[in-house]
Amino acid sequence: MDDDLLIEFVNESREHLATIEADLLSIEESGADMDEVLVNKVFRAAHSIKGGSGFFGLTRVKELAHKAETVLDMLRSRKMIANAEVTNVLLAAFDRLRDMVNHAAESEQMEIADLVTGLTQLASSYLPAAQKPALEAQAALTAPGMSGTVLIPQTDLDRIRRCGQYLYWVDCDLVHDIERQGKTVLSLFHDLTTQGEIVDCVIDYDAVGTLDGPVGNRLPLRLLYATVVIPDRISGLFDTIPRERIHLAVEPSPAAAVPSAGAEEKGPAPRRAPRKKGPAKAAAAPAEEPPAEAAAAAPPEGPEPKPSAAPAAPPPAALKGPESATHPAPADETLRVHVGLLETLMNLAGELVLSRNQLRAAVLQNNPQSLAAADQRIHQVTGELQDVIMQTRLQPIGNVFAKFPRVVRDLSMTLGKEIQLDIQGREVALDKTLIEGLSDPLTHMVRNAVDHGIESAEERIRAGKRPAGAVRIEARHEAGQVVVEIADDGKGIDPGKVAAAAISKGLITAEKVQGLSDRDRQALIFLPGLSTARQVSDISGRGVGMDVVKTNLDRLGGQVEIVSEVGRGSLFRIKLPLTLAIIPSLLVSVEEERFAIPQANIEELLRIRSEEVKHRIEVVGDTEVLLLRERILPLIRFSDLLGLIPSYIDPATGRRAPDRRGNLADPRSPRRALLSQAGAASDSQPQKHEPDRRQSSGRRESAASVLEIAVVTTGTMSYGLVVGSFHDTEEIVVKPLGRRLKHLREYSGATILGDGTVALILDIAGVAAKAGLTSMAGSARATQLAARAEDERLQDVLSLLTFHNGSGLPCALSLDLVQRIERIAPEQIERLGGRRTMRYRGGSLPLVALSDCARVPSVEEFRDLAVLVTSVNGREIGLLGAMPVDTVETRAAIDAITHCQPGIAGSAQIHNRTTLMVDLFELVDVLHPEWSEKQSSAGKAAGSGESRAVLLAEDSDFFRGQVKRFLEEGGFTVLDAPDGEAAWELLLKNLSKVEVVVTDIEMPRLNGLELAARIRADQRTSRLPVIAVTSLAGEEDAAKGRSAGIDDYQIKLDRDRLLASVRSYMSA
Amino acid sequence: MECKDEVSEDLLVTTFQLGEAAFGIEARLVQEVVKVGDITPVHNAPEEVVGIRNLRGRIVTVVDLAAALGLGAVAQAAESRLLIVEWQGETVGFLVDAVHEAVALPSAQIQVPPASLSEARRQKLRGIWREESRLVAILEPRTAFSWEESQE
Repeated sequence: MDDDLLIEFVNESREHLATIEADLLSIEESGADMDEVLVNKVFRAAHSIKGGSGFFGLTRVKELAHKAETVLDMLRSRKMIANAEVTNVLLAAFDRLRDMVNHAAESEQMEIADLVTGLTQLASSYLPAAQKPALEAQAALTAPGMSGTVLIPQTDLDRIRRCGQYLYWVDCDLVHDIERQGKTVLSLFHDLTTQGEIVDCVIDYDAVGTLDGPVGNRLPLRLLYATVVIPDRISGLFDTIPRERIHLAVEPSPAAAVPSAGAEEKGPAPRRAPRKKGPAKAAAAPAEEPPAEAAAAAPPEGPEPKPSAAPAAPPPAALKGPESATHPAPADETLRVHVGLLETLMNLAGELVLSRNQLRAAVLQNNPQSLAAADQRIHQVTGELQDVIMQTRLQPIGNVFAKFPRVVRDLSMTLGKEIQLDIQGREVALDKTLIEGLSDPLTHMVRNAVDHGIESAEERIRAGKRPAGAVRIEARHEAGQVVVEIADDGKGIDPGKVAAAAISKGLITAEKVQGLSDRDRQALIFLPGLSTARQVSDISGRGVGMDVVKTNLDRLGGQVEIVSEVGRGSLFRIKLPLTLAIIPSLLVSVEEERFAIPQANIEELLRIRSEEVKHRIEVVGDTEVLLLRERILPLIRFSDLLGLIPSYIDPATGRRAPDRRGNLADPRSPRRALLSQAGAASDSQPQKHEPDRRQSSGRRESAASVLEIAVVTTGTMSYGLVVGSFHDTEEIVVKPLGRRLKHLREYSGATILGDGTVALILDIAGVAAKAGLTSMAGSARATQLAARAEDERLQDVLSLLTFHNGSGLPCALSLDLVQRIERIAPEQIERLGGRRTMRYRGGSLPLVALSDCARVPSVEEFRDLAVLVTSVNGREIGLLGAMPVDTVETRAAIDAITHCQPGIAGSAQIHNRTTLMVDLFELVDVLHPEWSEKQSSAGKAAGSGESRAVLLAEDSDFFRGQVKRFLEEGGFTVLDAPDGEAAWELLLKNLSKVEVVVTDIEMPRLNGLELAARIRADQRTSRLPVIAVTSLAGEEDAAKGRSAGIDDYQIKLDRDRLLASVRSYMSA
Repeated sequence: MECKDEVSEDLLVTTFQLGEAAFGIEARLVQEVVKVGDITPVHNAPEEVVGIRNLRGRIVTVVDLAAALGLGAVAQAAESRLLIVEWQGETVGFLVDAVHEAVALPSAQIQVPPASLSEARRQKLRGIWREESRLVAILEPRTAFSWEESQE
């Protein structure tokens, strides 16, 4: 089919659809007292979509439009009233139609069954039983001289007959009657619909193949056309089609011919009463005719009676934001421009031609004076031209706002809230790109305001507010920017709750939150991953969080701020640039290529001399970071990102070494590390605009001696971008990249520089994404680094209490096990029956020494003794050691083999000395076997033999051995695995045996939180208790763990509590 | 169907060189032929994209046609040219080794691509034109110039 025609149809349909939403809402508002002009207008829109879609073979569009039309017809004939239900269904149907029209090519694959059923049920519920079957029925019509029949809906036929219309077959030829006459099918349709309606149209492909004419010369189109024009006069409607090609198909029903019948039936009059119909008919049905006349008089975009009607410019569907670009709807490419603007453009173009002639003359004459004059003139004209062209791109923001009445209506209805929407500043104009990009974020924020901001009516009354909530959307100009505000008088954003949510999600640490103002805490809602339970709700969720809103706005160069007071409401203020097409940018070069960085993204420019590099730049993990005052900024080497230079990894350190080729002290290099932008630009400009960039290799070397860093921000995230050198700032014109390059997120477009070469424009957010910096975190990376440190703490840090044993041998005991430390003199030790005790809190405390069990020198030679009071098997016991006693936190690995013997679990290097790790439990078990027997028999009694298995996941061999032994001694069978993944496999093999899972948090492959989450998610294991063991459990970790499904937290080496916990879960 | 319509008509074809082989495309698709000029490379772009170029104020993606057809790459030399083609609403410059001439070929002389070619190759050809020792493979723009959005 002809693409141009289809595009025209799509455009036309979109125009029709643009105002329907507002119209339907007005119709609903007026209820029984409906405005027939408006209903007619909507009906006509549905009808013309139906007509055109039939021609293009868009059968689904046609079917849906037809069903909508049926319901609208019933509204029009007052067989039903536009209540909320009717409006809902109609709105949904038109939404789908808009989608289908916008993606006409895919419309045949779109699902419409739900809506068709909905509309049919709606229609049938208002019809008497006898008429119900007619809704689905089809009438078969046979065209003269044509094989087969054409099915048209019975409802259409009934309506036509009822309205006194004749139904004609009109045979036209697309080639001769239409194209050769300089018309298009659509213009013919257009003409015809002023006098009647096109019920159906069929292209007679059979006729094409016959031999009755030259091939390709005829394309018959058969129209089924309904009009009140009588057969005698019908040929007057078709100037190019001879009468013999028009056949009467169906005559009006006799009842309709009787003038009184129309009034009695209250049925719709012919939609367009033709002028020549004569006064008799008009007078015959005065009760219903005025609207029909009015409809005929009203132009398609006639005056709209309701203030909420939207402007007729591009429909909201066009404004779906950047995502919709993946579905190129043909009409997205068109733009409405005021004729006045076009005329100004024409004039300017004329002037430009004149100036060019002037310039030519001046060049030919080689006359410097006229050359200067021509230059000035061209300068002026291009400036004006630019301004006017920019204006053509400006669109009223009302195009986006237009959909909000509907959004708010639907949402408040679903939520049972009453909401008054106030929209101001529809006329504020913004660049087309901005308008498109704003649609999604604004919608999300409006939805949020209605869903989360405004309380329920009861809550509002309790709070002493009016039961109806107010949402205000306003756009205005302010200081060369456009400000859009979305305000509600709802409950506001509780900074405490947001902060708590952020902490519990592990997005920020509690310490950090303490330093934040309330406003900053509220701004935490922009953190990615902060989907508090409320945000998951279907209504405003749609899978988009505030972080996405923020990212979208960032991409548009917009800033967003929150003003919110708990109990009073929230205000989101968005500041936007007027246009995106021309942006001031900094030109930089990397190696020999130039790139543009939008000025809006630049925070500051730095130059770091080679000798400063090592102080200012550090490597954290696999990332280089820049220390800038108090900030830690991740650093991206742009050349690495582009693959321009291979990465230099220093083989000695494994670190990425700064590029020090040609380590020349740059004589121009200023002492100050921080440059103003102007300073930076002028400092490094000597080679600017060099015609042959290949000759400028000298610059590379001088540039290599210093690091030129642009500190850039996306709004949520800042980082340092290492470039080769800085050039000027220029106003550049953004040009889009071609289809093959659109997917490259690191470029937002290209621009043509003064010398005619092309430079790519960097998308700062895209570059960050490409380099693997995740969104948000300018604070971001720092947070990430903090999180990493946190992880390390969880992973390895052991808190130990160190003491000495005989011969100054350092020993250590897990700090968690020690309750108190008592200093005693040797004389205070009492010996009875080979056992030592001391007086302690009015009783006697059994004392043990490591030398009692392990082959180490005795501690009792020391004068200065310490008793570490601990508790084993529920009994207090003292371990003898020698001073000094100290606590250390260590990440040292524990060697579980070399020094292992009864009472000693292993050894670790602490402060460069081999320190023995005391295994207190084993020690006590050896020395006081009677204590532990009771316990373990108790354990065995509680369990029922072999089947009571504990699954243990722990990556450290030492801890795994320790904990496994605890558990086995406690009477449990232990299945152990070195990481979460192995544990999961083991668990699946032993589903029937495992009753409790004990897991470490930090493990390779699958960590404890992930393991817990997987266990919870799987039906087979979802009820299995999971106990996490850590070396140190903090509140934050516990919260994180609980949300992953961990039931309990225990300290790794606290045998008693761990056993107690396992027992309690096992018996539970 | 299309071909049958043009049974008796000549097809105006612009012929050009890619490596050892001569190719042709319908001349009406070619807006102009320009020298390669100053091309800005686009890093991380698909392999066949040589870069972007300014063509009188428009940014044109320059595609190595040999690479796009899976025939290696064009080695830029004095004879190299860009075929500026407007395709699917976008102006693209196809880099070729040399541009020869525009010839009017009687449609009847255009043969179907030989079955010995792989299916993928054949899809990209509209036909083959032979004249004595000369052989011109005429590209089918719909397949030869198409580019999947999902392609990385």
